[in-house]
Amino acid sequence: MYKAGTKEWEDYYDKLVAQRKKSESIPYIVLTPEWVSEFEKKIQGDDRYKQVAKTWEGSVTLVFKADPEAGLDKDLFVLMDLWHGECRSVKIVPSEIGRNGDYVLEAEYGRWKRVLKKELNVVKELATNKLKLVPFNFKNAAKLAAAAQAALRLVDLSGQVSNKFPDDLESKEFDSFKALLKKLNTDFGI
Amino acid sequence: MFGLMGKILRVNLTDKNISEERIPEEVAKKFLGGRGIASKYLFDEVKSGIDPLGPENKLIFMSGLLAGTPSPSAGRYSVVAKSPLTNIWAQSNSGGRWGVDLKHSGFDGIIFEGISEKPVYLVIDDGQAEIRDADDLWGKNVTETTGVLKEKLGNKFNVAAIGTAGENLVKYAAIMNDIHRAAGRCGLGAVMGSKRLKAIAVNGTMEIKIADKKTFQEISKKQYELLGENILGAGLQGYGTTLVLDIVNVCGGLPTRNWQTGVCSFAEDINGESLSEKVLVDAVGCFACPIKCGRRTEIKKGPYTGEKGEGPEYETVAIFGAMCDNSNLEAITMANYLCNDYGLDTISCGSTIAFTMECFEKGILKTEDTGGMEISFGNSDAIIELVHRIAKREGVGDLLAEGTRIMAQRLGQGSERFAMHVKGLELPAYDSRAAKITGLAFATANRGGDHVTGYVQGPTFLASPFLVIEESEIEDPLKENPAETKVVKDLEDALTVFDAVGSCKFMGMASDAQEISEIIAAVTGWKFEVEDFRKIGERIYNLERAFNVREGLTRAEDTLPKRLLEEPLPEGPAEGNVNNLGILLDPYYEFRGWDKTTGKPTPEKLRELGLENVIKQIYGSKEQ
Repeated sequence: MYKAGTKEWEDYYDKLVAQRKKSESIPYIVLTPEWVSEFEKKIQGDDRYKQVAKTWEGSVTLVFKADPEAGLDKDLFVLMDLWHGECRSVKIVPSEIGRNGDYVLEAEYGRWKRVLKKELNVVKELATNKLKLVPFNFKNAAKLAAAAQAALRLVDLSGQVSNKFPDDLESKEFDSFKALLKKLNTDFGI
Repeated sequence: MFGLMGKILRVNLTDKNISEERIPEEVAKKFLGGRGIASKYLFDEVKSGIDPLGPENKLIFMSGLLAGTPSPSAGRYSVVAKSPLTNIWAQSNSGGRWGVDLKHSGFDGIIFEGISEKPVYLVIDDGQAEIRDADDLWGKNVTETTGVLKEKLGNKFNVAAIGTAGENLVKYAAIMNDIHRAAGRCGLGAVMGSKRLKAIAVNGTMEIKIADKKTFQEISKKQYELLGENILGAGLQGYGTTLVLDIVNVCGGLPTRNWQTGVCSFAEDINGESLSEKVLVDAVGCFACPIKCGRRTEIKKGPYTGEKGEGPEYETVAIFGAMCDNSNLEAITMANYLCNDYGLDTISCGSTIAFTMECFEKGILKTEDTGGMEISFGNSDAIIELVHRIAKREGVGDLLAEGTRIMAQRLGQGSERFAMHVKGLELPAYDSRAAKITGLAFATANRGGDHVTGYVQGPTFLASPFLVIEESEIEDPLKENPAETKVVKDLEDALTVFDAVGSCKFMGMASDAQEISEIIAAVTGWKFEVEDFRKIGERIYNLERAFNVREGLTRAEDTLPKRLLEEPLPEGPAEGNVNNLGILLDPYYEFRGWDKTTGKPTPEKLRELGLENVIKQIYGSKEQ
């Protein structure tokens, strides 16, 4: 297993993404490394995001709680490194890295899915603690509140990448998604 | 009666007679309290066509049904009268704890009628009311008036007062309570000044009874817990209402240079973070409010160093800042302190100054008209000087003291086009060209151009839906969607109930109608369900509309300034947009049950709401 936080881990993660982008068909399955990479590109190329997030500082981790029906045997962490309208990177990371994000937002897989599909309003979910800031602290919560338009834009961009979710897959695709997660766990500690 | 004290005080300032009246339970059940009961009395007792600054106008203070209970963020009171600024129904609403203390003094409300020959103030101490001479207070501002009264009566007395702006009948004078809290909108401070009523000092220990304490405590506890870990609550506590400044700006809807654009280039100098760094001392809250969006502040640099007070809030920052093209946060804070002390509505005052700046820019006003002042955009010294002159009605301040509508009528030369008011009430700092549905809310709000009547800025600019109505999503703020006009109607009705019970409207983002109905039921002991919540809001709203119709208001007045209808925003995410109000007005009237030609509530709608007595008043006897 590559050690999280090392250059080696980064290099092999990037290599995996590159390989899978060649082998997998579009639209990519949500929560795969290739989906995450496309999401990153979307954010990086989006002028609207740059504008609405120009005062934002800090990394954000989205924690998808374990949900075996969606293939998640344990929590999955997507870390977005965001700074003043720029997106430095978006990656799936091991829990110890994800938990160190500046803002950790946690919810059931099913709720994240509905948010990303825009069936639920992300700001409302944040405001009603359905997307939970963990641990809750007032300073970070205040900053999140001020970033409402940025949060909405991120959801828009995610939807532009793909709305193909793991729990909607046919059994063959679902099995291969589960196999991917297993590999991510074995090789990358995810 | 539970929740309410069940009594109001009637004070005739002409003959100095004071009497007590019971609030009939039937009236309480139909109108709840606060804005609701006050509007009922105003409609019944004030004839159409009267002079708002004359003896026939009535000035009605009324605490909310929940005020004084530990229900979170629910200690507000309303003041209702006919407005001298708009000449229609007016309501202004304030927090702090004066409304709570009024109830503890034994009364839900006070109706002032007539005009006193000499300046007076009213003292209520545990059920005993007395009119006293205020000669020594006349000419003093709010801080000093409050201080003198507390020294005379004791610190336990809480004071609502006018400053010299109210005495001088500035058309947008405010009534201030707890020194820094304003019942600011619509010029009700001028009504108080016209009656030569300087202040109302209240104190008391009377108990507010709750019918079902156990249920009440359970629901309240749940609400406190929800607010304890809530990002909106945290945002408001962290940055005050200026939290929204950046959000509105990135939507391209922060009115700048008197609404010439919706993008403010120096937003970062005046936003919530900047305010926290430059002037914030600590966060302060109203009675029983865990949110604490108030700001205790002190100016730490520049010519006003050492000045202290509370605020500014978002509207004040946006209007004395972006709208006046002024990036000097210390000057904005000072303008806010001055407005509070003189007793001036910061929205109308700042907007009138921004309008004056554009008149000056366009050569409609010249230095010979302004006593030599260069009233140019960005001139923060001029802003401060103008606040003084407005309150004192000195020089050009006398003209500005009339508000934007009258100014534009007097100045002409096309200035009406950029006089940013609806029905005479200056607009708040959200450009409706960047969120179309907000234009409908400005155009139709009962008190004129206002944002909190149906705070549809929540689901648009702030992207934060209101839980208190069933459906508040606005799909695309830049599109006029007729079906979404129902959101405006539903929010107006729901937030009317908030004013009736004394709740802060921010609670509408966190609590649903079921929860609020359960609280009302627990406090009053009445069977009270969501259906009652909705119907009462609609009833009060229609009664207020009927008051305006009786004053001669028609559909033609449900409109927006020409700038919003005809001048596209020049830049930003909403570039090229104007308000196409016509698309929204008919469906809104339909949802309301109002006649599309006249704008009157239909007889059927009034009957449905139990307002049969209103039909004759606005249709004549044949429609009975």
